[in-house]
Amino acid sequence: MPFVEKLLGYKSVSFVGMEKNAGKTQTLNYVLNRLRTFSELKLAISSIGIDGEQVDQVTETAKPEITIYKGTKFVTAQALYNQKEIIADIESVSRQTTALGRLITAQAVSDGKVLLAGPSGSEQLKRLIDTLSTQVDLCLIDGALSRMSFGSPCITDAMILSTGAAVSASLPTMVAKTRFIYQLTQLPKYQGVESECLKQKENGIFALSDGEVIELEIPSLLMIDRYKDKIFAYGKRIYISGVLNEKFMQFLCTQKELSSTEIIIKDFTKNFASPESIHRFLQRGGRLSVLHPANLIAITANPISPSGYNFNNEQMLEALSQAIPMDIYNIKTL
Amino acid sequence: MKFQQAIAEYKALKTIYSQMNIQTSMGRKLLLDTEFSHSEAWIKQQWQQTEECTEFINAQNEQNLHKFFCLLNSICDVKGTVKLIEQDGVADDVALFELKVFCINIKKLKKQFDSTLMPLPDLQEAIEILDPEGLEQPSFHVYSAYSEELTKARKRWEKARNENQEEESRILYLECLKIEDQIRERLCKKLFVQVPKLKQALRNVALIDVAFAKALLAKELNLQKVEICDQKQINYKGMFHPVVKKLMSEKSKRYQDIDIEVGEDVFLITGANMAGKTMILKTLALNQLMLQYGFMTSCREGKVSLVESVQCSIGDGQNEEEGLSSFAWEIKTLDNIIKTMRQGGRHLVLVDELARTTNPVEGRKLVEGFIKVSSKQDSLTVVTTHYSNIEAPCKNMRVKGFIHHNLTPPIDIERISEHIDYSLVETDNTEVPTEALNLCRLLAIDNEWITLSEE
Repeated sequence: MPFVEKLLGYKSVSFVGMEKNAGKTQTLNYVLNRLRTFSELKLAISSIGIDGEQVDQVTETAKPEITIYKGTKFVTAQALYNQKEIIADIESVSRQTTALGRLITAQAVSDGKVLLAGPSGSEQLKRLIDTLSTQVDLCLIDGALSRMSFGSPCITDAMILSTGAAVSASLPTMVAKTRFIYQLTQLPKYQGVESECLKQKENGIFALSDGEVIELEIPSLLMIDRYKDKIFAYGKRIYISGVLNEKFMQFLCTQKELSSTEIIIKDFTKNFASPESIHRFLQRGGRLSVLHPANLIAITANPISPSGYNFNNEQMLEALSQAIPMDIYNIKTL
Repeated sequence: MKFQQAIAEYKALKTIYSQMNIQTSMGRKLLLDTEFSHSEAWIKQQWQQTEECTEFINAQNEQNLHKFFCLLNSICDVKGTVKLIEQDGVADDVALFELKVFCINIKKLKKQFDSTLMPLPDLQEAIEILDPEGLEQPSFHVYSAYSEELTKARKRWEKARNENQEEESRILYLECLKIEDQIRERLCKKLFVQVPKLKQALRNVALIDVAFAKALLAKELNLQKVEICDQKQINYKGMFHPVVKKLMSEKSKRYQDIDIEVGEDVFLITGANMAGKTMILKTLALNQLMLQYGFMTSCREGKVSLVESVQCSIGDGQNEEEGLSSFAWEIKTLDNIIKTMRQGGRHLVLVDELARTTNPVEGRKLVEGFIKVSSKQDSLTVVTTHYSNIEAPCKNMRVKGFIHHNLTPPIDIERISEHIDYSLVETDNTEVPTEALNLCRLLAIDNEWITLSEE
């Protein structure tokens, strides 16, 4: 029973997949099944928003159904609640609505399958986890390597990443991609005094100078060409509240001196720049840090891809283990 | 005019509204949909409801009161579900859950506040329909206790599930759903009989919510009932503007309540600048609106006639947006007021510094003309002016104004209220207060300007 016991030390754990069919749902189902042995443990489960993946699957027939067991609380949007295959006691209905209706909190009266779609913003998700935490011991969040406005998995105490053949047909490519995500999760936490203040900033680009937070009035990093003079007007420590894009990273790499440059982003999911430019930036002495560090506690890998090609179990684990100093589990042999 | 429209039109009324602690969406809707009432009986009923709440508030300690409002706040609108049931529809689990929680909350509310004026019905029968296990927990699903058939079907489904017979379990689950649907239909049929009670609960919980909000407001702003009379009069003793008074007291500045008796004749007010003439008009407007929307009013005591409508010409620069000159805007507004008065009924007409933007000779004539027109109508009219020697049938009043002794310039404009006696006195209007220059001196305005003005 690897890594399941590790979960017990946390109040909330999110599950994210590198790709569709990387084995996230299988991982989650495995964990849920395993946690049954801890009969005293009160469990709740929800999901981060409704990202593209889930909407696809709502309209299509193949749904990532999650099996939960009697006594588990779950939170999902009304439209998906009605598609459940379980007997559940409704305990509360949110006043706010999501794209799929209001959020229903219910407790499973039998074992069965549910479809999950939780709140879509980090703030709402955090509030939901806080509320659930008063009622249960552990919250599991079906997460996503989210984009832009969606909730980030970094608001949970710990994270489990799923990767596998679905990421790439080439084993080295899959390993490289997974390693890059792993490296991003290891970005250091920004320790400056401004970090509390920065957490409140929803958009904009800011310079951090002697404990002061100065808005740079640059509307978008996509327009960095026009604001080249402005960006370092107040020093070389920059907070980007939105997405860190490739264009900006390339611009940074054209700078002569990078050893005193520090870029801070909200969390690792906000990075859209390529591994190459990130590596170049870091190698030349630049620093990249995050406000909300990710606490990656395990990686699961799925050797089977939906399009039919498989990796050899042992080769896959071997290759991943060599590239990533982390516990890695084959989802098929768990 | 509905309350919603009135708060869009009158800023002070909106401030009052924003200070109210409305807890439920039903209460909010009820208040916003309230019509400007011409019924003495309705207004008195509102006051009685408010007083019933005040008594309750006074009898509770802070903690209990907080709990009570939390309970009120947790009551959700189930109008849609009640309507669905009334129309023979079938509610889903979420709707039935909300209905059950609503009924349980109403029961709790009734236990704490058993109103005689806004009685909450006994919803025990509805609760029992939705609670076959008798636990009265705020949760709901189609309980197996509803039918043996469902219990059996669920057992079969669970067995198939446990044996991993995917296909079989799916079929059996659909069977369970079918039985659940039948049960929901049955429940809704049973609940149909409860619809009148549920409707009463919805209506009265909204009334209770609004009445409590009004009671808290009256307590906070020290609002009072007034005597409603048929005679053409609006008399207040100790009248004050609740928003301004609160603001002044927060800044520990002086605020003076005033007495006013508007009656048969047009009420003409003169007075120095900054003496609060406009504030009198605004207070009269606000009080009348509050009264006729069923609130208590801001005064110590009063005797007030109900009116058809409140008509104001108090320039606040709204005209700019419409592209009219200030004179054109004022004249058009007054023309509309005259048309309204002519349609009959008693209105409260409040006009601030009539024709102030034109030359004094014609301005005075326009004031006199307006007073003569108004005098022929049944309306209660209050006009402020800076013009003297107005020759028209009216009651001439003056704000007493500056208390000059012990004043050494410069005085702080922020604390000017300490140097003004805001009370109204009768005057013959042969002379208007000429205190503008004096005021400028007290406020230490540019000396050369003042000296040259005096030459």
